[in-house]
Amino acid sequence: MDVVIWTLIFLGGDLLILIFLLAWAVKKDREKAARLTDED
Amino acid sequence: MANEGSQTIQKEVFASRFTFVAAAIGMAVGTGNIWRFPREAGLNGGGAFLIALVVANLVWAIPILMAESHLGSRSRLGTVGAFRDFMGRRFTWMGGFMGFLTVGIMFYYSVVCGWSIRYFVYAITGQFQPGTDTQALWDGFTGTPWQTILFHAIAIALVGLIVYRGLKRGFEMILKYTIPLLFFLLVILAVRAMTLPGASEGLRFLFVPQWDQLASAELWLRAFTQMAFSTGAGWGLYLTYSVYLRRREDFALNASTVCAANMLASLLAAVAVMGTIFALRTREFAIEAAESGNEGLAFIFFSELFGEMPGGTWIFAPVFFLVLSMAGVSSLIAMMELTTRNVEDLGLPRRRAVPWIVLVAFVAGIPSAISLDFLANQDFVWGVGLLIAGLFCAIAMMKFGVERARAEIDADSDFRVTWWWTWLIRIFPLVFVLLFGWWIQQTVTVFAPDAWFNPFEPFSLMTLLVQWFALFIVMVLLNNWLANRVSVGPMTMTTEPISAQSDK
Repeated sequence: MDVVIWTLIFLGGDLLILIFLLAWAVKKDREKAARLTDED
Repeated sequence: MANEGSQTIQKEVFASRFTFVAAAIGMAVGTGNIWRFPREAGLNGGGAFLIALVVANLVWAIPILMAESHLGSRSRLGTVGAFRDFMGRRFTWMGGFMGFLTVGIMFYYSVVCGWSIRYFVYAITGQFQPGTDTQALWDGFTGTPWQTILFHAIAIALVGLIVYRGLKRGFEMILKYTIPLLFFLLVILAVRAMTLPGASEGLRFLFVPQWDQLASAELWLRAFTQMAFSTGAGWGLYLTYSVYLRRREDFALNASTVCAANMLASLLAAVAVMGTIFALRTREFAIEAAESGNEGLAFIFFSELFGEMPGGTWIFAPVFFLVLSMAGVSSLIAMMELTTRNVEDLGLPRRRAVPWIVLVAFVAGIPSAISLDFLANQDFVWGVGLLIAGLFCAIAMMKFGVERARAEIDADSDFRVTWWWTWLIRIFPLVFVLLFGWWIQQTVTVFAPDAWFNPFEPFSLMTLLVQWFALFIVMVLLNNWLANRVSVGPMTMTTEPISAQSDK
């Protein structure tokens, strides 16, 4: 059981952090693109 | 007197943040993620090592990658020009020193990529059958110089072709497809390993923390070393890619994403390698494999198992060595681009620079292709030297003004940097002294205790000092020539002749 938990913490945790960072980057890029379109 | 290259040249830029991050992940993910990380993690306390690694990411890798990104994106020049414009003309040599450390690595890393490509060819021709003597296969290959030289030539020529085509038609186009594919293949290998009966012992070896190890100074030093080598922080590679950023943007978010992806690649590779070894062999075999060194683990111990794994010979062996080759080539691309960027800054166009770089890298890599001892020595000398280059990045930020740099980074970022980055940059010299001091101590007490003064001993203190000092002298002698010759960037003062500029 401890193997499953620690695997989830490290492997799953890192994967979740990466997904969060990528999702944030995509969101911010879209916001910036929308802002630039509005300014034009 | 500045040459014709001393003009601000309009450079290509990455099409999107995704392609920049993909290229930077390709730079960071190399063969070390696949054959060094599983050994280090398993032998140094499993989860305890991973906790130290996360701290090392936050303290060493992310701050230095951010500093590199600031150096590259603001100066719009390679390592030499960036240090000239951030530190002042007298310190141009620091950019040359950093750049040549990575060039020194490129010379032998191309040989390593050649090994991976050779083993991929072995795999697709069905060499890894049950009972294959992988030790004899390795000895036969590395004992045949024409083969190691041929595959070194293939690796450097392939990368040269990609870099010759530039950003848009070359490495951006290649890396935006190959990096997602690399992760997809790593997931396949990890899932295959996890579904083998007994693989959970490999996961225990990797992930369950041995808490008592957290009190070991050596575990922390090993984790920081792994992180410094693995992320490429301080190599100048991330600096080089940052030259092609569309605009100065989100340094903290980009650096964090690269480090998280780099760690994920390491974890997936470790699951694939250690899960398989523990499933098919005993714990003693796994530890022997982990202690056998990078090449021993991948090319001898792990390769031996493909023949015993369902689908191993024809599916998983080719996939594994394809992953190893892709990881190596994506890092080699970054090394060659760093070299090309600097040569272009010196006034030679890419189409003329790349063939010369390929030729020089091929010739300079031949000794490593012929002698494993020579390769190990070069890996040791330039690898440890990269810690110095990391320090140079921190010093550049201090000279420029850490608060000023932070304000500029924050102005372009959604992910606010605040006080922590300035604080980490300021304490970086202390972290460096601890890590660098430990390596120096290792050379005297562990690697070559009876021959530390012998410069011809592959892992001696003297071989480090002699080669670093030689590079230092050459770069200092070339300082003024480099400062005058490197082209003008947005930060370079242009109101007076470049040769007459005083230090900023």
